[in-house]
Amino acid sequence: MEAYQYDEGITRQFVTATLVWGMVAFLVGIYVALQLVVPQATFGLDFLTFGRLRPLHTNAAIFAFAGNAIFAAIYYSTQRLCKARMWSDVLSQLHFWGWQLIIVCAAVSLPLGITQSKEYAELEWPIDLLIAVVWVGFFGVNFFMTLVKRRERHLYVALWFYIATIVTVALLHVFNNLVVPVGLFKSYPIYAGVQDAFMQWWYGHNAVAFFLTTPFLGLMYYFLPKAANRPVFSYKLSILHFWSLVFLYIWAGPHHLHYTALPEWASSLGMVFSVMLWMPSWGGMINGLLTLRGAWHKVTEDPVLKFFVVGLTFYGMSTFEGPMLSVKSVNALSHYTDWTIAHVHSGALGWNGFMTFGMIYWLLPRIFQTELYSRKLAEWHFWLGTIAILLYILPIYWAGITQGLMWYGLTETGHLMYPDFVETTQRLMPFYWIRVVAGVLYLGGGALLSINVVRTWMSRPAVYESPVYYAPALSRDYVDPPVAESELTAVLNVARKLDVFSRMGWHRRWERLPMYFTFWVIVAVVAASLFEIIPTFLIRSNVPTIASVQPYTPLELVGRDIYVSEGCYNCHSQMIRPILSETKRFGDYSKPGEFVYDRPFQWGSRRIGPDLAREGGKQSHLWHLVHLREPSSLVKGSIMPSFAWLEQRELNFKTIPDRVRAASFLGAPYTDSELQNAIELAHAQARQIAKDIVTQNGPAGLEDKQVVALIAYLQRVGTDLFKPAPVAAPAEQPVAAQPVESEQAK
Amino acid sequence: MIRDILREVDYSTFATLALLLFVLAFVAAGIKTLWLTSREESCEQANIPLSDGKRSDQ
Repeated sequence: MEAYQYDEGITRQFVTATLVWGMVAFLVGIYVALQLVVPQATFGLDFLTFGRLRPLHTNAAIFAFAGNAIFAAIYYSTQRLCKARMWSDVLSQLHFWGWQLIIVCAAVSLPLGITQSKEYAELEWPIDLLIAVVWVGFFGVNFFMTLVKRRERHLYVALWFYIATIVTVALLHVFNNLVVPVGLFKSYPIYAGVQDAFMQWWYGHNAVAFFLTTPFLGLMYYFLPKAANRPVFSYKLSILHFWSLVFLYIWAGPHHLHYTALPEWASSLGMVFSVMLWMPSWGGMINGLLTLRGAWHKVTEDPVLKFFVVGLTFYGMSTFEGPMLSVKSVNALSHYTDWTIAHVHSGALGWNGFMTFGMIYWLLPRIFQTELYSRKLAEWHFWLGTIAILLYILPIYWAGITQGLMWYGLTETGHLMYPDFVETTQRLMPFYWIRVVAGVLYLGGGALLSINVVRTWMSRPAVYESPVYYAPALSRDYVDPPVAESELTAVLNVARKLDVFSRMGWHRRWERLPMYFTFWVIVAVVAASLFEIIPTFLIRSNVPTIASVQPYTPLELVGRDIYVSEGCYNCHSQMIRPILSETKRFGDYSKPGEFVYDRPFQWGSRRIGPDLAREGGKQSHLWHLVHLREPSSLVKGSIMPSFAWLEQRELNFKTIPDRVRAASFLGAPYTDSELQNAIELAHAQARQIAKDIVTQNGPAGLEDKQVVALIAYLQRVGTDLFKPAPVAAPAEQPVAAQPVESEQAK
Repeated sequence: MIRDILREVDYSTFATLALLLFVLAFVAAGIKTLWLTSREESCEQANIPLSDGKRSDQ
């Protein structure tokens, strides 16, 4: 027998971090929700705008709140399921502090506008490298070595979900963040346009799957039986649940890109696999709920079980809704609307939030070795949280469907029923106000939890007890029980061997061999990914070249980087779908070939403001200047914040050559002249735009301001499609820059 | 030549192949789980989280 002690300290640390960052995430969420009804709430400060803070909210909710929660769950349960202490306390601490450092870096860099602009992968490359080191080098190594050194032969199903989480998140993170750095705080992805969009939503969807679903299912399979004090309803169902989920989830990403420039077969495949996902998801939910069979009376008394039951119910609800939203005809209405936001929040607040709260309430007496301070406060938290979620999602569902129907609406004569986009925005204001109230209630629930945690912690013993446990080490020469010989008679020997093989004794071996098991999880994930990714990158016909589409001029390139930095994609899409109401409202539908120089792609995923894919040339330079300074002065009822500082801040022309060189390195066909004279070309275009603004009765002296670069970009967006293909020019002539300038000057 | 082959491949069959692959994997997992795992074994495994291990003071 070997003696060992569990490391409770690391669980206490992660639980504390979960609570602290959770409150931050809720608070920032309320603030950005408030900005949608009171746009002046930014106080004219750049680091408080919706475009910069919305990523802070999502990153805080996903990676800080949910992230620390899953680490708390994993560190607590893995030790017990393996009957072993974590392999290295040093790695545990490096993981904890490394992860908190990442969160702090995110909290500083995102409001400063340092972003890759890919949803849930906004952090720039130095932080991405840190994530890879902490996730794989500290967390992954520590986890897998604990599995190797365990004293329980069978790997319980919760550990399978953790394995899938660690392996897949590492893959997704690495491949979606392959970039060429332009400096310490700026990079361009190696993918462009359609491919970039495809990689991003392969990542984005599976981040939801393998960061917000599989680890929480592992949590559920461990903590629900513990809280109910009974084994899971069907262990067999849990195995089917695991393999089906891991195999299916990875295919579903393309449903985020219906009706875009993605190949039809990939889009359909994403839809079919998404619909099939419903089965394992509900299998998991039912397995969880039926674990409470015969113990439902406990649910009425125990706040922990209440949180788990409602959390599981929201899991079932959002995993029914997800497949439904992936159906193309539903998606045509729901995409870009607040319906998606409601869907995400039913999962995040209901499933992730409530499973986390349930786990924390269950853990508190155990990790602090004392009674929970107040059961009543926990009950209040439960009811406040439940009401908050319903108050959040119901109006936002309503808002989303209202948006979709208003955008779609055509009159009998075929004209748009609501031609002014801002009409739809204004219609949503009452729903947005209710959401703010709901957010405050959810935060209030978090405050009650905080009180309970602090007061429970205050009544902890002076010295924590650290019990010693005993378990025999796993013998190295363990032999599996023999697989019964084939009972087939009168058949070839090969058939007998096949019969024995089909009894799958080999799978039983895998279940106790973590590395083999991990290998097959990787196979399932990689196979599915390659099936989709390789064709998308190989087929030339996917992205037909458009001769008139040329690289951005140096000034437009830096202007585009400002657009990215300000997080404009959080409110504006750049993807017009081939749907009548969209083409009528925004212009000709988007073609794949238009995005070949777009690094990163800026298709966006919601329309708080109108699509900008055909914005170029629609308005004068002066209109853009005034609109960026005070949007509501030109569009009455607009909820866009002011970007007045762009008019005051100098544009750093010195950074332009690096940007152009990086774009050229990634394949943009700049001439030598453009590469060598990037600054001069940018100055020339800036002077021309500034001159045009003066001609249009605007202010003078803007030729070296950031706003000019942004206007240059906005005036270029979506215009190349309608230009004549450039005539083959002498090698050293800057062919891309000239036509654009002359067109804008008109 | 490789480029020509890649250009000529009908990638839409990938969708069918993907479904087939999933069905095979699902059937294999189903057979293993439902028929080839004994009830006793399954119950034993399901009970793993209920015990934290044997304490020295128990």
